[in-house]
Amino acid sequence: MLRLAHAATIVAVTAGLVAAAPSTASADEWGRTICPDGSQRPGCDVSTGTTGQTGSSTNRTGGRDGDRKCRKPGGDVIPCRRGNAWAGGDGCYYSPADLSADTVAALGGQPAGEGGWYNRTCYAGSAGGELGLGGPVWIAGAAPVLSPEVLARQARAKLLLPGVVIELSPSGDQLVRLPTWLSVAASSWHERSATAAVPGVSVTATARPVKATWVMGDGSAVVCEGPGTPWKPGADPAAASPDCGHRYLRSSARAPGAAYTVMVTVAWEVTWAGAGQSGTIAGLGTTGSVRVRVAESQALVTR
Amino acid sequence: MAVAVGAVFAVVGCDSDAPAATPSAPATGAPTTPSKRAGAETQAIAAYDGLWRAMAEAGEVPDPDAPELRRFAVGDALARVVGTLVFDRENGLVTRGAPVTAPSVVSATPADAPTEVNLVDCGDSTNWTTHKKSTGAQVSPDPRGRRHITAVVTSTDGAWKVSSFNVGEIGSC
Repeated sequence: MLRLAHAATIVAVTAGLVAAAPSTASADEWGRTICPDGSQRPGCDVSTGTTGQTGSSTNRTGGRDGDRKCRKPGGDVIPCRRGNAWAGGDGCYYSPADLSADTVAALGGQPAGEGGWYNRTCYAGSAGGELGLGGPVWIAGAAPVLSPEVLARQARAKLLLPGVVIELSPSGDQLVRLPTWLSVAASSWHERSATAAVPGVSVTATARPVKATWVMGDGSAVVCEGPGTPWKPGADPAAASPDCGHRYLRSSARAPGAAYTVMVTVAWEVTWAGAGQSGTIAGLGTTGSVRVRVAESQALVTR
Repeated sequence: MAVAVGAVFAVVGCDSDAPAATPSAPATGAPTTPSKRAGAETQAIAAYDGLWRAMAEAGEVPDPDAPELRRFAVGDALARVVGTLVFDRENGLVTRGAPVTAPSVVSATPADAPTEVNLVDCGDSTNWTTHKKSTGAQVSPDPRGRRHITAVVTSTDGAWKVSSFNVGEIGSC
């Protein structure tokens, strides 16, 4: 009950600010020194910017409501996300700010206590392309705007996945009917992690390769649950790969350039953990390709 | 100006041996007070002009950490200018050109050796445009024009810096 009353108070304050705001569709550089609410204070007034998670089902006047829609304090539905920024309860957008020490000093120094710097942007309308107004702001408290899920998406964006290096056996030209062993280099297939943090919350996203989809160029596709097994010298050349292989039945003589394009897409499952929570978010993919010629074995013999 | 003239008379009045001085020549052989005041006003105006020039230069990058900004601004003024440049950076914006400023002194206190000067200006941003950094294309709309600006310039240890300012709407002067 207390919590609801608190949320209502914040909404009322927010509404007042917005009502007082001038039309700030865009501005020159001087205009951008003015706060979105029309005031001229450094750091502006962001006491209302922390309601992004107040989304109780009864709060339909700002922030995120029970339908998981984001609204301006006036009630207009706005996108919950703009780029990597998320809508706060004041209808402005917040993303974690990465500020230099000089910048922080100029902004008045690092405030004491828990909190974080955020880039705040407020838009007068809902039209795309509008510049908006805002700037870096300090929001006290433990990551008031960003949920672990949001941080997870940021960590996901920081993941650097390796390029796909294809290893075929036999290397080079393939022979019709002879098993082709499909594999990607070990460097293309191992876990990667990245972390995104704001004061009080740190989330690590981990990408794990789970599946390789091979498009062989001859109209067939092969799905492998692993990186495949590289053929080792000494093994039987007529044996098929134990886990990821293909057998060409037609030569590539009639394909464009007399070669097939073999393309592999590695699917990465992305999980995240942090702030005592964990989950899965949209996966990632990496691809690689190589051109291979497939010859009739008889033709090879005559060569 | 009336304040400055009054100050000169007051000084002259205290010096009974001095011949009748003309207010129009306060610097010639006059006590240090008027020149201190004039110096303060000159330096305050230089800091004000310097701040916007520095902001225009930093805006081309944009670089919120440009040292020139710290040379001409402090406190709230510095925070707002730096914050604006951070905003520009985060939104992929740069500025080109520079504003035209021509401030005049409203007041200087204390009168005998000012440490704070209030300025008023009708700044013109017509030639200070905003562009997308990625493409160089000017943003649209890109409203510009004359703004009524007031600023407080303060001296600390002899260094004059803009400590706060207030900008009016486009067309406010």
